[in-house]
Amino acid sequence: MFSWLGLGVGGRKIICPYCLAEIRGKKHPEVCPSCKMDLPVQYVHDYEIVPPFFVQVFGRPGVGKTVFLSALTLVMRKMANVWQGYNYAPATAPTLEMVENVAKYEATGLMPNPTTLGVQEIYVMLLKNMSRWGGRTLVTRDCPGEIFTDLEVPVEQAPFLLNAPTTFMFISLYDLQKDSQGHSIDLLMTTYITTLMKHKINFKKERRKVVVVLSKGDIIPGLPPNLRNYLEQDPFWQAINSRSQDKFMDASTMQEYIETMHRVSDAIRNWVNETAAGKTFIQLAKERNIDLRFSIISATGSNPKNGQMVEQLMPRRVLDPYFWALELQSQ
Amino acid sequence: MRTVRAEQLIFTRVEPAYSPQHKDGYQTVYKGKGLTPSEVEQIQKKIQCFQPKHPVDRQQFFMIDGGKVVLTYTVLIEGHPEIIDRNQRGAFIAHAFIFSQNEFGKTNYNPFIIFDQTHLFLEDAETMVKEFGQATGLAKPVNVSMDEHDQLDTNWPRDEWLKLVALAEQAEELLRNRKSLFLTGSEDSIRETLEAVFLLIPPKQRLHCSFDTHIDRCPTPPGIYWAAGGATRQSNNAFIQVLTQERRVASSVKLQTNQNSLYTQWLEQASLEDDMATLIDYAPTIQTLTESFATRRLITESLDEAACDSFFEIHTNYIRQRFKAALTKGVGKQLTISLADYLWEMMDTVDKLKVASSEKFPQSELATFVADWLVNEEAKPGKGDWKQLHTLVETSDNMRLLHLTTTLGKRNSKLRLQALQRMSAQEFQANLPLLCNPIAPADFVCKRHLKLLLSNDPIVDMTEAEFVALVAKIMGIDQQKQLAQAQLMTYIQYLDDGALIEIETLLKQYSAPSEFITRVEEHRQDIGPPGVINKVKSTLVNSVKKVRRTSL
Repeated sequence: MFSWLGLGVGGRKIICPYCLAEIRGKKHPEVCPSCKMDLPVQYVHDYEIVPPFFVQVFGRPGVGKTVFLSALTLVMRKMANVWQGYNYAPATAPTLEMVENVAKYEATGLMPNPTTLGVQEIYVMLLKNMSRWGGRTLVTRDCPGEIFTDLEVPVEQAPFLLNAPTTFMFISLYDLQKDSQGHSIDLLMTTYITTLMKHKINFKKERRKVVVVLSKGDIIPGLPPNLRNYLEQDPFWQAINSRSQDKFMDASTMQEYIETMHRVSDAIRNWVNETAAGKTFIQLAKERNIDLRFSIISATGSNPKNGQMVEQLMPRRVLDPYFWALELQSQ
Repeated sequence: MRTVRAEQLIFTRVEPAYSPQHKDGYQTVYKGKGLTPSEVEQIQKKIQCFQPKHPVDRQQFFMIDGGKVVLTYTVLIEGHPEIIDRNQRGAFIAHAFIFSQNEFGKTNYNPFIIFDQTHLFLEDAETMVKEFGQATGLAKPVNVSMDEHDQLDTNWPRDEWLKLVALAEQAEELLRNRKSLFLTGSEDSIRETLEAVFLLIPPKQRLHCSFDTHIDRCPTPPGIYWAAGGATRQSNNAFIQVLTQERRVASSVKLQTNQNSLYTQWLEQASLEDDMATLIDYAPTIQTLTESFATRRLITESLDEAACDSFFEIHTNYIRQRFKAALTKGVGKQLTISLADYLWEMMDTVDKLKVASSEKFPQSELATFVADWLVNEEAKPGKGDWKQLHTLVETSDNMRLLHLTTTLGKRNSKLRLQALQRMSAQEFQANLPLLCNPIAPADFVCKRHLKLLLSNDPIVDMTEAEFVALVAKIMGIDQQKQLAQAQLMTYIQYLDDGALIEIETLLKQYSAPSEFITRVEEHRQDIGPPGVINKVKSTLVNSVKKVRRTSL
């Protein structure tokens, strides 16, 4: 597991965002001695000020992992409207490109293509002056859904799975309802646990944290009204699009928001627990000491048709999984 | 039409109804029966990531364990809602051809012969299903044609393309050290650069020069391919950066070239005079030559003459050395000393190269050249040489040479006659320059070519003794009717008494045309009875006749 601050007896210690190797000694290393990749300059320079947190995305094909990352980026770009002093910086070329593409996505509503197999490019975003958490660098990689369809995940295609303490587990209840292949949410948890056990992860020693993300929330069948209401009333989306002067979210507002998230997590848990598959899902996690938190999002706000948004893009609650990750790693 | 056989593999995203495993997502949808699971996995690993920012086609060329060669062509396709993606998002389709190394060798290990034929590769989902069926999972092997493809017309500065070629020759070492080239530029410039390098390196070396023309957004560490391409520069210093649109190698590189290689030497020297496009034209011939010099394979295919001239000019001394070695094997050391200069002058560059590279002189061609040498140069081989030449005759079955060796060397009338009977009129004609100088006409007599012999002008230069021997030979093979031939009839009047007596003796043993007999009798009357020595008259008459003969 990583020591985030990178300070130690042996001099400065930095985790390579590509291969996760520890780099020691040099003050400002330019190249990772292990994988030979050029290290992002800002990442290295501000490592102690904006320490990284690694997140692994997990979920079957078509559940919305890629769209979520786009929506999250879209929202993060605009958070300066909400947090005073906030700024963000893409630290790698692919991240910069993602930020630029998000504008195009917002304008055209054209859904991104399915993520292909193979190791994806790395996403490194420095986020400074976030109310409540200060500065952190989000490091993540998109993953193709196909790798999560078998009993074991090929970890070379999900490089953060073993070492990142927090995983976003995407579940589309809408797609599962239409599924005729026998897929269910408990099987996804089985895949997660099997893969970690295969690689000798000790669940007792290192408590794993899974943020369950119920995606496509706007079209989940039978969603309880309170959860639907929560989904639709996203204060962050309203705030970042508001011209009002009185929209900044200070520490106390953030505290309230987090407390609401806890309540919503419990509500979702209770709702999921109503089905046999849901019960099994929760029980499997409990047995392995996995800390489960629940969130619900809609990365688009409405249902795309023929690969394109018909209505205006309106992401809802996409920050919740991200806030959970920050919370859990601050503990 | 030449073809090469290949297995196929198709990788794309499909919905469960079109998947052989009934699952959605990117997967190998069709594959050949001849592919093992391990081979499928290795191929899939290489082709599975393709996320270009803008529409481009991707070509990949690599080997898998076991030595099979894989060529893939990948394109972006529309998201067909039923076949590809229910959400109608776009996807890509990767179509792979897999060859055994032997089979791929038919292309001279040049993948661009296949890549040029884009119609061979799938470009949409509906065609895919039409061709391979729904969820069958099976792709049958195909015979891929090897059409001639367009000439490449590209020019890089000399120093830069020499670097690329050197990097290609070091491909194995680069990969061992986990380094690769990264080619930045447009789809066309990347492809053109790769194709030019491939044409400039020896065929077998091409197998080590794996490539992927587009790795953008698919992190591919150095050391996987010899060369990777993309629109944007990769931030890894183990990549050797090549800017294809600027036509230069941007990274500083330590280059090692094999200075002992005939090919490298030619490339470096010829490039001082000729541009890259010309050398690309010449390259196939030069590669054939250098391969032959290395393996001593006899070249049977045609060679480009200009390319041969270029190579010859640079390696003249070495070629001559090998040429002599080939000649020595054919005719021995002694004869080589006499023959080498003659052959060097007479033979064209292409033939000299074929002999030198293989160190073999095709026996029948050598025999013809030796026959020409004997005839045209009036060569006088020594005793031991004739023995060597006779050996050459045995291995070459050259009738001209047999005729010459059994006439000028150790005489053998039976073999000589056999040679004369078997040789064509053209071959007979080719030996005739030696008629009467030094070969007597009788040594040219055979039924098959008698008319040709007797109509040949130089026959009038024969001596009386040669005339008598000729007549005797003609009578001996029962061709007396040919004695009425004009040249022979005319010659009778020049016979001296001794020769005439011999003819008269022959006429007593053999029949002859009446005009021949009449002419003999008339001449007898002219010069008087046999045995009566009329020296003055005889000498005078003969002197006049000699003068007349010469003026003819």
